[in-house]
Amino acid sequence: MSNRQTSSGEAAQNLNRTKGTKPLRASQGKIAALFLLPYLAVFFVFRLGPSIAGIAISFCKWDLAGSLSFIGIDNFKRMLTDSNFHTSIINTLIFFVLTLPPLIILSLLLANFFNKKMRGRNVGRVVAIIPYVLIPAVVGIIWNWMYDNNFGILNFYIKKMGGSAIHWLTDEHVALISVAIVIIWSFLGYNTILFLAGLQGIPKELYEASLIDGATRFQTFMKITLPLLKPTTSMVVTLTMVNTVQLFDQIYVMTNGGPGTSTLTMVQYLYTSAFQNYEMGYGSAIEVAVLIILVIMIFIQNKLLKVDEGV
Amino acid sequence: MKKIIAVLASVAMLSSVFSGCSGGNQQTSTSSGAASGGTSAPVSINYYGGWTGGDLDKMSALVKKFNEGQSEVQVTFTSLQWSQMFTKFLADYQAGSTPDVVAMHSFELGQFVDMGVLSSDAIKSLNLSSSDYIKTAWDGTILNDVQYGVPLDVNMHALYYNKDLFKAAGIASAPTNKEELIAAAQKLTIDANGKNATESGFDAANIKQYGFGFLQNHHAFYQAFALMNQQGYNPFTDDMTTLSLDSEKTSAAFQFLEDLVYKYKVTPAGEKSPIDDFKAGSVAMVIDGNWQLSGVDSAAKFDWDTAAYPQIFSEKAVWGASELLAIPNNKDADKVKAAQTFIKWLSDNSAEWALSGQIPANVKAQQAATKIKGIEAYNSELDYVKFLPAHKKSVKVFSSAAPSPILTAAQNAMLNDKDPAEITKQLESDINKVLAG
Repeated sequence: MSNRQTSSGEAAQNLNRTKGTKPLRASQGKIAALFLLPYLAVFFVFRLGPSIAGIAISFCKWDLAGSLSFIGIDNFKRMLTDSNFHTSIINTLIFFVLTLPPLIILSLLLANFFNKKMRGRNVGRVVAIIPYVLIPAVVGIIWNWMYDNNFGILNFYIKKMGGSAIHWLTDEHVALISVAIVIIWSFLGYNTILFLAGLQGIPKELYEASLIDGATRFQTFMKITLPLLKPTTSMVVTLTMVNTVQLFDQIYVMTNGGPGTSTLTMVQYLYTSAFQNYEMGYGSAIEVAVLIILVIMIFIQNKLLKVDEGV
Repeated sequence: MKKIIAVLASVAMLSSVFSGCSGGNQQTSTSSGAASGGTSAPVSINYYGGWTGGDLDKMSALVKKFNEGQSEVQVTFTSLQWSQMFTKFLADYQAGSTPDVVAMHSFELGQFVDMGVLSSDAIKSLNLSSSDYIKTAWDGTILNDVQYGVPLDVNMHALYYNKDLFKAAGIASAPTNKEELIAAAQKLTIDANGKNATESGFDAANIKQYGFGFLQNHHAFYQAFALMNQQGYNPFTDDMTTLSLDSEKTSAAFQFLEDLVYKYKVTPAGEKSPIDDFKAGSVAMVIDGNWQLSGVDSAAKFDWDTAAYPQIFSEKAVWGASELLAIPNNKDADKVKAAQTFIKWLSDNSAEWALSGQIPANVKAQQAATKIKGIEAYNSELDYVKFLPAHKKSVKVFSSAAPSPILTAAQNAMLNDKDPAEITKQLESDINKVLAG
């Protein structure tokens, strides 16, 4: 027994050595907690506490000025018959479907490209991340001008090439796609950097071994790169999911949910209900719905990718 | 418990959208430290407005002038985009630190009166006289025979036109009616080959310069509202509980706007910023508000002027709104008195406010105001300007954000070229849903 304990202890120590970490002593734990305290305080006051309050308010009627009145599940019942809410869910899901595959596939390809040794690689990496660091409202304003039906640069070149002007943000069949293009442009660099970090964590020896074994580049990518990138992919998919479902700024600036309700997403509708119509209870109920949908989506994603913590 | 939840929720909602909730004095405080401590200490009050850009600079200058001109009251001015400012106002009110003066538009008054956050007594005790104010603006502060605010200014639509382009097209004066407007707009709509919309071979798919432009969002509905009024028809009232639209008159209003884009092809479909297109010289005429005057004056590199909103139907009418100053409920009598002092001063001195393109609601201030370029056309519309009602649900019905009934109607007309009768039917249905909710 003691041998086994000793053996497993050694194994754990070996593992820790392998990972380059040591177990924290009690005093170190306290210091760590102290460092975490400011963040935790902010988290509880500005995130967790209000989120819990938001769930409570979803069962109330409240116009922000008066007092709250408990109305049970009326706000949730209203969701069942509110066609605008249904539209916002459909738009959110379409938006998610439009943005997720390109944001994963293109960023993975870009990361592979930037992972190669070549001249100007660092400059390329910086350029790739620039759209992400721009303020979202600024991104919206810039693309608003580029998308202008009559005098925008995109339609200028389309007309130059003999095509007809596309009503990027004012055609209800095109607007959501136009916004999706902007989001892909914005987030591509960020996902690329995450994948790049994942790629650089894959031991070079594995590639050398596969080369010796005569594997093609495609086989190497499919059998080594992709499986070992699984934890990174899972994280990127989760972050992309959360970012796209919670997207607000760019839509607010570019279309404000229109034309009609063609770009009305759940968060946009939450904002309109809570902050323009002052229906805080209903807005909070939508917030709860967003949370539930995100949890379901992340659960499905984890099941599909079968993320193993040991990987 | 409810109070705690309310405060936490306010923090949650506001922190997720914008930062900067103000703290401040408690509304429940019945004594003012500043005033009760002695006559020399000024009473500090907070004033919230929704102006951005040039308007904000002018209002800030006025507040500064007030603060420097006396020592009894010191005003702290905060300005955010309108809807964000109202959210902040209500959150602060709920948290017990209400602002002392709040600016708003006449049609927004109904909801705040319904919420019970405004003090009519504070306005009544100012003993204002209706004869000192433009009638429409004065009427815009009254709801159910009770006055809730002091009129500050009036905003309206009118026609901006590029005189250089008019001259080049051989047009002598700004259009005043439907026929003149369409004729002028067609002459001023020019394709890449230099042909205008009246000439054979005109290429509508390759237009370089448009004759007529206007905002195709909620402002398109404002135009439809004006055109309904031009037919002697205004179905929107302060106390409407259901709405039944006259299909013929409402459809005619939307039809005219649609025709400009899809029949006459003189207006660009889906135009995002007509005033910028006008400033750039790519659109010869635009419909926009007096708040654009100073911006156009500083940016336009051509000769321009304004004209009254064209009369398309049998009567003159134009959409407008007034801005007013209200005093929220406050148990601190010193602060209410200070707020009254400031509001009265601002109203009496609003001639300087006119420099931002606004038309002061105070008659004396309006007369004393420097006549900035283009303001005369707006002044000429004061007798027939029409306001949207101060209904308690006006903010939902007439909201500029999706999914508002008027935005859907405007975009169905301007972007989708839908049958005006169908638009009318949907508008009626959408508004009735809001009214019933």
